[in-house]
Parts: sequence; C-alpha cells; structure tokens
Amino acid sequence: MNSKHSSPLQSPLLQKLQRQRQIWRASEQAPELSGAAQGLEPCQHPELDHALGGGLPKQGLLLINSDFALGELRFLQHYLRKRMQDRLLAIIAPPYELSSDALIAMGLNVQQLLLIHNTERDESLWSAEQCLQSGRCAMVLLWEEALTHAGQGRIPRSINMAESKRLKLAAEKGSSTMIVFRKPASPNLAADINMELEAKPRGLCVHIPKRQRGWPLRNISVDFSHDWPELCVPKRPQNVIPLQAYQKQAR
Amino acid sequence: MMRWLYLHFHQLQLDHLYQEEAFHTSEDINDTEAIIIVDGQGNEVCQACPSAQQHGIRLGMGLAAAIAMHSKLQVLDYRPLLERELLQQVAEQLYPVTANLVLQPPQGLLLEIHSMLRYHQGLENYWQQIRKQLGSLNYFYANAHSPWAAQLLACNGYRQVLQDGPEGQQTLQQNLEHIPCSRLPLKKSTLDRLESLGIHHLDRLRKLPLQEISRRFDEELLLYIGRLNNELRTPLAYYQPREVFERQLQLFYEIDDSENLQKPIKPLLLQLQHFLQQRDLQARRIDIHLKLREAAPLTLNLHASQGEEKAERWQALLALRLERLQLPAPVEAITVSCEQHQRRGQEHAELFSQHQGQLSQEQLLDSLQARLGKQRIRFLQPANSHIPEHSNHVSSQEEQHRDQLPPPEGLRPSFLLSAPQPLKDDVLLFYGPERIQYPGWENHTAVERDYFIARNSQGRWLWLFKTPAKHWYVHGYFA
Repeated sequence: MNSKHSSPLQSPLLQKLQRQRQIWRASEQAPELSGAAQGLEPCQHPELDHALGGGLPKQGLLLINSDFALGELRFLQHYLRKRMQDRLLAIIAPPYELSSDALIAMGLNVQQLLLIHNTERDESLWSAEQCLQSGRCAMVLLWEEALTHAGQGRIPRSINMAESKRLKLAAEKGSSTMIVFRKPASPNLAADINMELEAKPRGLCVHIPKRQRGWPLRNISVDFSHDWPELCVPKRPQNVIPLQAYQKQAR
Repeated sequence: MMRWLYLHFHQLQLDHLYQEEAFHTSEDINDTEAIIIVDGQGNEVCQACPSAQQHGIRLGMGLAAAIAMHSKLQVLDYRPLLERELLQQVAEQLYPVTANLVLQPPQGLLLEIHSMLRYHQGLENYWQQIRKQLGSLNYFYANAHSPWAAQLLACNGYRQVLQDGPEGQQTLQQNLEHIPCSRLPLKKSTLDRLESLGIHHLDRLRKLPLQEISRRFDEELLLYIGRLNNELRTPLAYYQPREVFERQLQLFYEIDDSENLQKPIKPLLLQLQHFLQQRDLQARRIDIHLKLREAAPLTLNLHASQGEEKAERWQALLALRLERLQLPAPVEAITVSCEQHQRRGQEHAELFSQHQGQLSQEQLLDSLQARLGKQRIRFLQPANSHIPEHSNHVSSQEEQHRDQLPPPEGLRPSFLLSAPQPLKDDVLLFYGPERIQYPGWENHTAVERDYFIARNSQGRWLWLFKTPAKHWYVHGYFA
C-alpha cells in the first residue's frame, strides 16, 4: 500500500480519462432492467430493439453518422413519433426545406414542429441548448453539416467534446433528446449512443461503435420493406437482369 | 386639525441625476465633480449639489458668478418637464401608502393625511412610511390645517411634522407669522403693494380685517388668505395613477456599446415590475426607445406572448436582443414603455406535468425570437397546394386549423429542393411515374412533370422528375 499507485486504476492518466468520462467500466453496468425502466424507447425495428435491450435511449445525445438521404429520418420515424407526445420537435438548420407532406406521412404532427433556420454555428448550438433544457421540446434535430459549412468569416467546426457534453446535460435537464446527424465515421463525442448507418437495398445496416452501458454492436439490419415499400429495391427473380446492368455488361 | 402635509422637492432634477449616476458609474464621482443646474430663463443657479455648495455657490446666483467661484463646474439645464415627470413618479411611489395626493408641479406634492392616519395608527407611523417610500430624495415638508399653509411652510424651508393638539397649533401659527410676505405665491404687483404698505410679515397681513383687504387689494389676495386660514375651500384635483407605464432615463454619459445598455435599463425594468405587480398585471410587450446622438431613435420591442411581470425575465430577453444589436450612434436617453398589459393569469398549471423544465412553450419561443429574430423561427404547415414547390406553408406563428388538401397519393420526399437541380448521378428508377400537372395561372408557371423515385449508386433515395422535353431533375431526397 505504500506504493504511489496501489492499483492501475489510480494512475493519473486513467483518472484523467475517468474525469473526462472517456472510460466506461463494466462494473458500472446497471443490472438488467426492463427497457422502460432503463429509459429506453423501442424504435420498432425488432432486430435493433432486441440488440439494444429494448430500444434507443429516451433522452440524452444520439449521434447518427450517415450519408445523406439513406433513410436516416425514416429510421427514426417511430422513435420520433412516440417521444414527441405533446411537446415540440425542434429542427435546427436542416440541409434542405422539409416537406410537411412527408412528415405527416411519417405520422408526425407538423404543428408541433419548430423550425430554426439561417442560423450561424453559435446560434444553432445555443438554440439547441435552449430548446433542450426548456423541457418544452421533446427532441432537437441538428445537422452537423450546417455547422461546418455556415457562417461568414467564422471558423466552421464540427461539434467538439465540450459542446457535446453541454448538449447532453441540457438534454438531461429538460428530459429531452438531442439527435445530431453527422457524416459517416465522424469522431466520437460524449453521446449516449453513436450509430453508423449504411445503405442496404431493403433498408439499412446499423453499426454501433459506442454506446453507454453496453458493448459495441455491428451489422444490425433494419428493414423498411413494411413501412416504406416504395423505398426498397424490390426482390427480383434470379433470372432477370436489369437493363442498365445488361447494357454495361454488353459494353 | 392638521389635515394637510406638503412635500417640497427643491432639487428633484439633481436628486434624479444622482440616482441615475449611482448605478451607472462608480460611487465616488460625486466628490470630485460639482454639478449645478441653471435655469435658462433667469440664468441663475436653481439647484446645486453639496460639493458645489462647499465651493460657495448659493442658489439664485448668476451663472457667471458661480463659474467664478469654481471653474470645474458641470452645468446642466433646468428641465421643468422632466421634474413634472419625476414628480409623477414620486406620486406613484407614495400611492400605495397614501390615497389622496395632489400634484403641485413642478416640485410639490400635497397629501391629505387625516383620512390615512387611522390606517397607519397615528402620525408617527404614517410619516415613517412616507419617508421610507421617498428614500434618498431631498425635500422640505410641513403639515398644517390648510393646503396653502402647509405649502407655504414647506416652500420656505421648514422640515417639521407637528402633532395635532394645542401645542402643535401654537408652533404652526408662530411659524406662519414669521414668514415674510414677499414669499407668498402671489403676483408681483400685489407683493409690491404689501411691501409699500409696510406689511412685511404674514402676522401683520392676517391681522387685517378681510373687508379692508378686499377694498385695497384684488380678489387674488383675498382668496389666498381665506384659503390659507382654511376659511375658504381650496379646489384640488387628486392624483390618479397612470395606466400606461413609461419611464425615461437621461443618461449621464453616452453609451456606444450595446452590451453596456443592460445596466441602466435594469432599474427601469424593476420599476416596471413594481408597476405591474401593484396593479396585478402582466406585460405582453415592452418597447425600449433609445434616443441616439445624431441619428434616428431606435426602438426595441420585447415580446412575452404569455405575459410577464418579472424584471429578471425581461432582462434575459433584453440581453438576447442586445446581443444582435449594433448601435449606429451613441445612446443619450432610454425610455421604457409598456402599453400592452393584461390581467395576471393563473400560475402555470404544469405543476404535475411529467416534463421538467422551467420554461413554458411561449417563454421558450420568446427567448429564441429575442435572439434570432422572428423570421428565423418558423412553424411548418401543410399548404393548400399540390405543387411540390408550394405545398409547404411556413409561418412565424403557430396557426391552427387551416384548410388542407387531403394528403397526396404518392410518396413525398422529406427534403425538398427549393429549386430543382439537373440530375447528374447514375440512378435506378424504382417507383413512378406520378404526373403532377398545373395549368399555370396567377404568378405560377405551368408545370407538367412525371415524378419518379430513384436510388443512386450510394444508396441515396431521390425524387426525380422528367419534363415533357425529357430533361431530368432532382427535386427532393428521401431522408
């Protein structure tokens, strides 16, 4: 016991990492609880819900790393609808104009949508924090691309660790959820869950490189063929070759 | 009976200046700088701060003489209109304590005290209350049996509140007797006549029989004496509190940085809070007018759609508003006014709501609007059109129950491009066509498009259309 560091866990480096909440200890894992008690909301994708032990976290910071328009909003459709209830859904700096018809088709009440646009980086983050901690917004959607591209003269930056922690705390304060859409393979932040989406002909393939209270997961498939049959590549008989492919082959 | 109390604020403008200065500069500036207020008409000193008086400057002195006494003087113009306004504010402060007030502009305030004594359990308590309300203001005061007697004493530098009773009556009469006739608020010719008749003090005047006075003098003196002795009724217009809040602050120094505006506005907002709380009201909008040097005045509107009375909350909104304000010129004066107010509603009924958070939805929107401006906060509404470009209606307010078309048969992309882009990617078409046609009237151009849903090689889902000329465009993305 006389040695300076009695156990490896007390080494300064580890303690520093611990303070920064960069370390997750298996011993801190809460005993298995049911999804509701753990604060999970099923997202209605059976395979994913099963893998996550009930669903996505009800509140906190969710990161979605994905190329644009693979189905990242459709993927969250049920989650958004169920979490929204009577509160607002704030949408900050979307890359394009949102279509109300599409949102209605997703089962969202468009009257509860709050759009905040044309904001600079600081303003976007500030608005997100305000919405989150007010308790009046169930969720805040933010596109990181808008932060890195917008602003005249200001240095475009993606969200850093400190900012992500701040957003997470704000979300906890207002029992709300912050969802950030990011480019694939973005650096990790202090998120409750970090998801990578990959396009598949009939839906998505989800990888979870990091999440709180759980191991990383890979290759969970999400199938859209039930909810969005029009947005799936139809299964075709083995003996049919699409014309384009055929033309390419011929060339 | 000592029914009347008169308060004479002999340096209201100067006191106001000090109050203002106290929160906007450091405290010791008073010691160094001597301030005098000069009446522009007579060109004489009418108010002087203690430091100026130390240098030998007396009231009534000419401006040149005053500057000769002390060269480093700050000279300000006497502003009777400002004093009138300030007097209103003093009356507002006193109103919760005493009901019957008469404004005697520009510097006097007459209080009917007899009816109030019962509520305050005696003169002592009542007077304590009044003093507390007046705070740091400088004033002379006197009570008497008639309004004009009280006024006469207070304006002649008395500071006394006499108890009702034979003793008090005697002191009062003695004091009145010693007042020189030249100090009576009468016109010059009457005063000159009194002087030439050898009536120097009030005791001589009061000994004259009224018939004599009426024969030698005009009606004015007769009325005055009658009212002074309480033999005639004095017509008085009692003060009524104002329903509209408006306060002005003349800045001592110009402010050219918008962030520094917060501090001087704070006391105004506190006054607003006081005003609203006394009336059990909430403000929905307040206007802050900034008077600028050599530029058109600027007005900031702060909104609280739910109604708000707390200065703290208004200040938060103000801070957000000031953040995006660029002052074109330095600010000279600030006015805070509030015309839209409403009865206070019930406290938020969200005690048992499952969502915690300190703000209501309106408060959240107010904060966002205060910093970002109204036009950047929008609500989405389905609009009454089947053309994709016009199918969205974006409004700055929450609107309910609009006429809506039934949702379109076909699938719509979550993101719409505001202007269709020519298609560049390799895509596979999976769904369609869906024809959208529009003959083109009013200001919209004709539209005839066949829409398809397609997927590009990266797995991105696109919404495409083909024009009759067989050009392909991307019009949206299915996110």
